[in-house]
Amino acid sequence: MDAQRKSELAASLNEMGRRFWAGEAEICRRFWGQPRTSEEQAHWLRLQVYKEMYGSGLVGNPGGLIRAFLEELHHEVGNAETKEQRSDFERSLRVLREEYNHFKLFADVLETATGQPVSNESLKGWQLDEDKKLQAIRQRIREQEGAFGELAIMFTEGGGSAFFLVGRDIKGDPVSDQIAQACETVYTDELEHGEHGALDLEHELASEEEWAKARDLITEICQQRLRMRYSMFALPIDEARIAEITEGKIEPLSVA
Amino acid sequence: MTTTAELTDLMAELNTLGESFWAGEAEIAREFLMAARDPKDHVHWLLHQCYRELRGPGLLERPSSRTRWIIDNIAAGLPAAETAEGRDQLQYQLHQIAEEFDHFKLYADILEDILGGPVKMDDMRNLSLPSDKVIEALRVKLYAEDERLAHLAYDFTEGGGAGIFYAQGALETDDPLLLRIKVAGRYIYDDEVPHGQHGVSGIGLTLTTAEDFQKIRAMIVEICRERLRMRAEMHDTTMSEQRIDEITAGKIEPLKPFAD
Repeated sequence: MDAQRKSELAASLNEMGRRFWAGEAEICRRFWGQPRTSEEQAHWLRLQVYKEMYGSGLVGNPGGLIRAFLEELHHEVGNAETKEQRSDFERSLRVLREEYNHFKLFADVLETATGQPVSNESLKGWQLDEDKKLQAIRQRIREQEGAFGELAIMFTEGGGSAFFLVGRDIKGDPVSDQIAQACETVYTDELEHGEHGALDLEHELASEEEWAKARDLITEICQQRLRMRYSMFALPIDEARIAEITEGKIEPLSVA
Repeated sequence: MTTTAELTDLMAELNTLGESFWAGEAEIAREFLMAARDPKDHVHWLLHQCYRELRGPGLLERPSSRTRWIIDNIAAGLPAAETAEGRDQLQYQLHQIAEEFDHFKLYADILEDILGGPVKMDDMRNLSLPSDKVIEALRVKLYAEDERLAHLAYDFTEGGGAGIFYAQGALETDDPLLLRIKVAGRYIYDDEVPHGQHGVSGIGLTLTTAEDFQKIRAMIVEICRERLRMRAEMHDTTMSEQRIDEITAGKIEPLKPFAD
């Protein structure tokens, strides 16, 4: 496959991704387009806190993302003996702090919204069905497709930061202001993950078949991400709109 | 009853005392670095400093360390994550661990180039100077005497006012190896200085009597004198007891803040 064709396919995949991210932004705007009570905010915040603690987007550890990183780091420090290994460890520490900070930001908002501590026991039960389905899709892809599947998962990680892009603009009450601040912080971090995913695909995919397969896997994940977003905001899932977005009937999200 | 004005004076006296010892640690490092050296001469202090940067936060196993606290917290199901205060604490500990690892990496990268090979954890794991054992014994003794004051005294003296990093950061040199040490030292100094200020404010906020100040002053002197011996040993040298007495008596120029 020549470089020009590879470039075309990468651009096309990136555009498809940005249409799905626009779909996520559309759902977020629909929810935040009107004043919301603290309890309405708490509904999605619970899932967000769960996802920050237990989300399996980056690693498949059932103990949760943050916990997995912490355990890995404790094990890996003993191997940080060369410049490369130390740089890897340093990068992992940075990601860990970033992910923990995301959890902390949303846990703090949830505590403000509900006036209750974020109990770890309750947290385990906050995953919604549509998020469980998303998790199952990722896990199946990871198991069936291996490293190839991991690339597709990485591409969709964070949904182009659409959720945070919209969330950082909300305002009008103390909870909304705190949400906006949290989203502002997470937005930049998550956007970087998405860009890495796109770059990885461009480097790794070598044939028309691989690009087509990646496109199918990404579509499947992104469609389920939209269902998860509807569910997160307690909105009815609009399958017709999901089909339209998949067909490209939406302007791609502009990203920085 | 000690008046506020008297407490302010006592606090200033402690700060002056500390500044003398920090300058003393810097003096040891400066004299070592200014002498003509073969790169291999730097292996000893670099290895010991790498060990300290890893062991401090518990990245090399140490009881009651930040890393141990986090690991124990994970094993217990992350109870700290349940409250805003606990989450702040977790974030702070992670930040400190990352910072210490950064410092380790700065020195280890230099050391790797001198050694021409990896900086082996096994070479550091059981590294200890005879003066480290003296310092450890002193810690046990002071905590047995008065745990509260000893805790404050160790907070105050932790890192020795970053004196050795100051000396590195202030080097005027065009030697490529020393330039790398200068960059590392300055970076770490800028990170460490706020920690020292934390120790200072801890004493200022906690102590209310002249008697406590005198007790903590005596502890600080004992700790810092041992630290000077340890820093000298780390740099393959010794500091005379006469010079240690002079530094204790304030016969040394305090470190001037960096201009930039």
